[in-house]
Amino acid sequence: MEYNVRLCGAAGQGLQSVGKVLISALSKTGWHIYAHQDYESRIRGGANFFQIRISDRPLTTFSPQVDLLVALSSESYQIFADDLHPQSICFHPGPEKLNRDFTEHIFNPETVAQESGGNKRMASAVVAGLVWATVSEDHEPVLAELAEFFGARDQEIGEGNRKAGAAGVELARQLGIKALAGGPRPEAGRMVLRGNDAVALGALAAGVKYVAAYPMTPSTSITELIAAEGKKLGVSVEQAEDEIAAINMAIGAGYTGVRAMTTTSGGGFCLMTEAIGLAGSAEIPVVVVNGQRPGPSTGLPTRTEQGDLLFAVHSGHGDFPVAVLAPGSIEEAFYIMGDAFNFAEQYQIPVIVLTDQYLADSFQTLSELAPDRIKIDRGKLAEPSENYKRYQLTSDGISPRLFPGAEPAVVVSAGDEHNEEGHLIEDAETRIAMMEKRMNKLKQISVLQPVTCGETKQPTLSLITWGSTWGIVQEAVQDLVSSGVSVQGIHLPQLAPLPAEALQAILSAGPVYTVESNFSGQLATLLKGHGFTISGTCSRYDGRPLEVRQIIEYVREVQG
Amino acid sequence: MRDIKEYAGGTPAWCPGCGDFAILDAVKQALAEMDISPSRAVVVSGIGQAGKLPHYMRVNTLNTLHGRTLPTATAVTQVNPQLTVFAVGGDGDGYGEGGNHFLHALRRNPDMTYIVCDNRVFGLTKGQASPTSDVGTLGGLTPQGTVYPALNPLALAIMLEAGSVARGFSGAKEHLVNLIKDAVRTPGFSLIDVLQPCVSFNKVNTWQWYRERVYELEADYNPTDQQQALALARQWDEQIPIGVLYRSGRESSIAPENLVSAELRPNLEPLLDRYRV
Ligand SMILES: Cc1ncc(C[n+]2csc(CCOP(=O)(O)OP(=O)(O)O)c2C)c(N)n1
Ligand code: SF4
Repeated sequence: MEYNVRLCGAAGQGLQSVGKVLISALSKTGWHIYAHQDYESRIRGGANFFQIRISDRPLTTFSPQVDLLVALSSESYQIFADDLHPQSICFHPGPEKLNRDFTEHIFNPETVAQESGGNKRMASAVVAGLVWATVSEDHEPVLAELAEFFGARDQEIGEGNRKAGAAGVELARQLGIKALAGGPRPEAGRMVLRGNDAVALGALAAGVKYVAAYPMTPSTSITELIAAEGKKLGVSVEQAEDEIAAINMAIGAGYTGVRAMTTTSGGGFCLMTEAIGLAGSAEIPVVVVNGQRPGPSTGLPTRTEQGDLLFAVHSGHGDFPVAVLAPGSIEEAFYIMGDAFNFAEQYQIPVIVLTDQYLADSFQTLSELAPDRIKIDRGKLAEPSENYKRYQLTSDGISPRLFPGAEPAVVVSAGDEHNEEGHLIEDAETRIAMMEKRMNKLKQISVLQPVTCGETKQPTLSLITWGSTWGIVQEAVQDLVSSGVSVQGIHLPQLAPLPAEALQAILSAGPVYTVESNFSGQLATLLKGHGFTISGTCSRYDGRPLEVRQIIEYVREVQG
Repeated sequence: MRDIKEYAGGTPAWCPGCGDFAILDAVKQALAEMDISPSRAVVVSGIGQAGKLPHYMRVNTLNTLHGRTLPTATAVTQVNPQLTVFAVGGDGDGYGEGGNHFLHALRRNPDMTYIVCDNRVFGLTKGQASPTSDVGTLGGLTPQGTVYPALNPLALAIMLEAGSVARGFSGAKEHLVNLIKDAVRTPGFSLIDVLQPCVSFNKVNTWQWYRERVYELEADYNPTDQQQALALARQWDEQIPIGVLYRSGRESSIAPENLVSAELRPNLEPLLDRYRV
């Protein structure tokens, strides 16, 4: 069973609040949701939406279908009416009906809110009640959620919203709208969270102690969440003057002995690349989260793309090891932060985590996250001694670390080429030794294995993807397999160093295609560079996430 | 007092006669006199002749990128306030490439001592004009002479109420040692802009030129008067004062909650609870 609700309106009309109330109440009553957001780069006005896919089985992605459209502005319903089908229901503020082949009702939630004894600002609650009534006969869960959500500071406001919610329910009843038949059973041990929440919680579970960042959509809320909790949790959060300062601060904190991170998006990441090299040369662990958005330059500031893969893999000048990780789901975004901090400290390298706006702003019902599954491994540490050498040459290329303050040692780190003590050198021999020491680490890092789905035995074709597109590929593969196409899906949570051997082992004789949200097929280019043969790329680059049906159509096309 | 030999490092690659030698000696002597062990002091630097300074001594060192000394050093103070943190660099490094960070370090006022080896020229890249070069300074990129007036970093730091603002001179080493000791003891961000002759590229502000002009502030000078401090910061051609020009009495603005706890993983249960359904 599946049902898709789109709430749309201008920025500032409270779409997020209605959305959050609904997904929380739905998840509590046993539904699975996947909600994604589409918004413009403005604070007021425009046509944004918050789309909730509701199902009785777990979901890995959104659906573009709209069964119920609730529009809070005239502009937005005119834009989104094209996405409706004959069975769809649409609520909008008018001024007049469109008279197309779907059911439509003109309504003004502000008036309903006022008539229910509340005020205009409670319109969101009316919408929540109205939507809820189309899903379930039992209205208490959404009313309780409204009272809790809006009553956090003032109980009276909570009660007002509860009443406004009930008025929304009543409106649906008067119109004779029936709730969905059936429905799931509530299950214990579940969570609802957004991609950026998962990144922030994962970093906290991994023991992050210092975050410096400069705001940039869509990654800002990661650092905002940590800042809100920082004082209680002993985590220092610094709003840097720019991205250059942000990453250099994180490097300073890493040198001093704590797990440190910065968050940004493509343009900010560009500014950080010199310091990525510093971390590489000075071997200081640092984690950089790049929440991708369409580029180049400031591109489409609030939309989604996976266009920074090759840039991340090659970030910084010169040769040095970096690890690039990309979670394929909200759940993986939590756990991958543990790997990111562990890799950074075990190998003493910069680690870049690539997410994107689609993942960052999407909400999903998940089974309970387990912080204990994130093991903290701080890598090789030294005993303080008078003759401690920060860059001691070792057989595995990893020199034990110490932090300043460890009597009687001194910790000498430098981005310039240096000797074992950390002091500047110019001679060829030491340069070669240090270069080999650092590059040797590449042989050891490759921990996150490819993940597969679908027909993995002898597939006639394979779809390889990375990042948030994985959730979309999973559903496409499922649909293709059930319609008789022998296809396997592969997700690469680690892009650098690439686990090439492991990937080779799971590829069969059939053709291989990549699925990615960028123009040029960056994963395909990366894989070709590693000697893989890629027959084509299914891509999207209009700033919106790939859709399941697009992937299915692509496969049908290449199959002829 | 510790033995100054504890801080002995490698042989400097500076030109013979460079003003940086005396600054290096002064830092070591101040640390010895204050009994700060090499393990407890951190010297963060960027790139330039001055940026190499920590490599010529024995101390915790973080040699970073051109211009990025201050944000990096700020984080060191936030993570471990027990350390005595120094930032060291040239005028190009700190006022040019790192100009934005300089402004924000003044705002944050982190507890550290920032020593700028101000030779009023780019040394390491062979003699271009710097933000503190006077109008008319000839350099590789300004063959007709720079047309922009020199930045006055001391006036800027006084305006923005840094913890303390001082001017030193490489030719007055003992005086400089005292300035460094004073800066370390002063809460907040202490700027010491050191007049540093560059014998290779600055043919105007020479040892001789400075010796004719530099004078020490009187012992009874009151550094809390901002207007007077500004006037002294602007004194240049004929008479150049050295000493602590200004003291704001301002503590570090870095919020105390922005200090880091040592506990590896905090209790996340109350936070996770918010996401449970
Ligand atoms: C990003 C970057 N740009 C330029 C340089 C080249 N560079 C190295 S030192 C320097 C200027 C040094 O001048 P200053 O900071 O005054 O120090 P000095 O050498 O005079 O002590 C420049 C431009 C660099 N290393 N990095
Ligand atoms: S170039 Fe100038 S600043 Fe650099 S070492 Fe030589 S004298 Fe000193």
